[in-house]
Amino acid sequence: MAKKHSFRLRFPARRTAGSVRKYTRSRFGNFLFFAFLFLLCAFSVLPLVYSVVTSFKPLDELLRFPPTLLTVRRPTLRNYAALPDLIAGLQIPLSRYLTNSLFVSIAGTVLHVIAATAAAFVLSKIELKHKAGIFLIIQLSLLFNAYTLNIPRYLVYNGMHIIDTYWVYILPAIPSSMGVFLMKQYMDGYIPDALIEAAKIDGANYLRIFSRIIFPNVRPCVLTLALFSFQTIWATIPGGTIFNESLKTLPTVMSTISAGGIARSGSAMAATVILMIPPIVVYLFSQSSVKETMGSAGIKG
Amino acid sequence: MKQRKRPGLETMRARHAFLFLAPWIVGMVLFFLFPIVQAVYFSFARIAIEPGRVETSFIGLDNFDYILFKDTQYIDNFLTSLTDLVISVPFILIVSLILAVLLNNRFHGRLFFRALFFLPVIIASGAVLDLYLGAAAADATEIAVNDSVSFSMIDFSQIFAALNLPTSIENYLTVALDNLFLLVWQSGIQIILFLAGLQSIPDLLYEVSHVEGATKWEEFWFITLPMLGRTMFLVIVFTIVENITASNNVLVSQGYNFFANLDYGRGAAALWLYFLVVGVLIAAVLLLYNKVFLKRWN
Repeated sequence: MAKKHSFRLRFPARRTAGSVRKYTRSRFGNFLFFAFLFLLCAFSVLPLVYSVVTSFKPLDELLRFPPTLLTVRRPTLRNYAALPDLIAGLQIPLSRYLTNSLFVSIAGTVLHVIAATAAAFVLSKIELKHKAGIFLIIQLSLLFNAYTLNIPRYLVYNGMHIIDTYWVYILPAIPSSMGVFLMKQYMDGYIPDALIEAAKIDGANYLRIFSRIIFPNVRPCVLTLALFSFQTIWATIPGGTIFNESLKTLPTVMSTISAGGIARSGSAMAATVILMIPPIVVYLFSQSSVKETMGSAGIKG
Repeated sequence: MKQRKRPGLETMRARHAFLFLAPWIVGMVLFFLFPIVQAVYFSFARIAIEPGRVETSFIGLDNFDYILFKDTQYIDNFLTSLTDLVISVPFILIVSLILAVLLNNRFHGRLFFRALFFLPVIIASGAVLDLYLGAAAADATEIAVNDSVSFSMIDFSQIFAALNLPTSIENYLTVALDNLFLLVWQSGIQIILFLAGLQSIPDLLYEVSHVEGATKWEEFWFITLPMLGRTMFLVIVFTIVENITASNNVLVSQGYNFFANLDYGRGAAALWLYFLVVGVLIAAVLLLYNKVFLKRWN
């Protein structure tokens, strides 16, 4: 490592445009640098490692105090094996919950991304009255916690007669403000107005401009929105709006398990670990896009 | 254009444009604006929830009167969560800025490290985080994780005592260190924002300062920080918003408790008052930031 660095140091001026800066640092500096990075990294990763480790602990090790943080003496799959039994009491197969979760997450994500991209397209590229006002409302609505709105939303669901349907998961996810905000900033930063003008002159209507020009060019941002949206819907437990057991999703079930007290804490961790997997998979696909999108959010501040 | 019978090109265009906005606006009105207005009204009303409908009766300021003067916890919780805000926001800012600067270096595995720090954002939100904290609390290990992660082997309070720091600073550091792992977990998005900001600073500036003989330290204070002004603005807003809407915020959870007891009016009043005060606070901070820093840096 140090060798590589010192090699680069001889050419401090050879920087490619847009690349990362090289730092000049002594060997001791390098050591400090990595020590510090690893330390902070530990904070970030330890809880994750801890939950994975705990999910493999047998009961007697779970009860030990103080608990071992990173080691498990006799790893067991019992906690995972116990999950189906714990859920069996609910009389609906686990696969049903999983399908529900995947269905609402994917449907909600697709609809949210389309609605947000379309709205951002108008807000960013089309002359329209009250545009600034609408964007201000979007920014203000970022401030509100969904939970505060639970009961008024219940009234809305009730008025729409969609209580106890999949719509309760999907519909409120569509107008999520974060998506439009990020997408608009991205379009402001990366899609030149001249491109739209040129297409207009060539006679393309908005639908054509949107599907042929905008959408293909905002892919990184689309992936980012998809990630955030998927992860939000995936983790949502709708309060008091879903009563039919066969419409419930995975987190609802998992939280009933973790409510089971100390003897079930191993299984609760196992449930947590399982729940972490799908968002991580989505993240792996969209990882490189996320930074680009968040970067554009800061362009105009 | 209005005199024509058929709408002109511009009008057509505006209508089409509105079609693109429509799905989002309809959703916004139904699931945000209407509920928000409703919730404001609820904070002035007594709510009785019956199957399928909600009965409300207007009672003026009674809810606010209750939470401010009769509820024993509200003011305490309010102060606690404001203190928490004041402590954690600067801390998150500093940690994420340092991490972003570190991760902006060129070294092997830097993409891996970046992904690692962003991972908590993906997995540690909403129900998954609640479940995690719940599961951890269930076997009394939450404390253990917190302690062992924030160096229970080193007794910080003794070090602080030895350093003769003022009590307020000592308290600040103790709280910050106690919550270190939660705070680092909350820095994921901020790190990304700062990283992106760092990479938008033109290399030219550094090259010039290098030629002029500036040290790395001076480069940081006179180039990096001023150039990050706008990013910093965004990060501050984002961090505050994340903090005041988090479900582990003391005041927010008290509001939830009101809701859980079907005391919706009082819950709404409690949360509205909080958001109002914090909103004013945010505005003040941002105004100050604009006046003092951005003006000087630009």
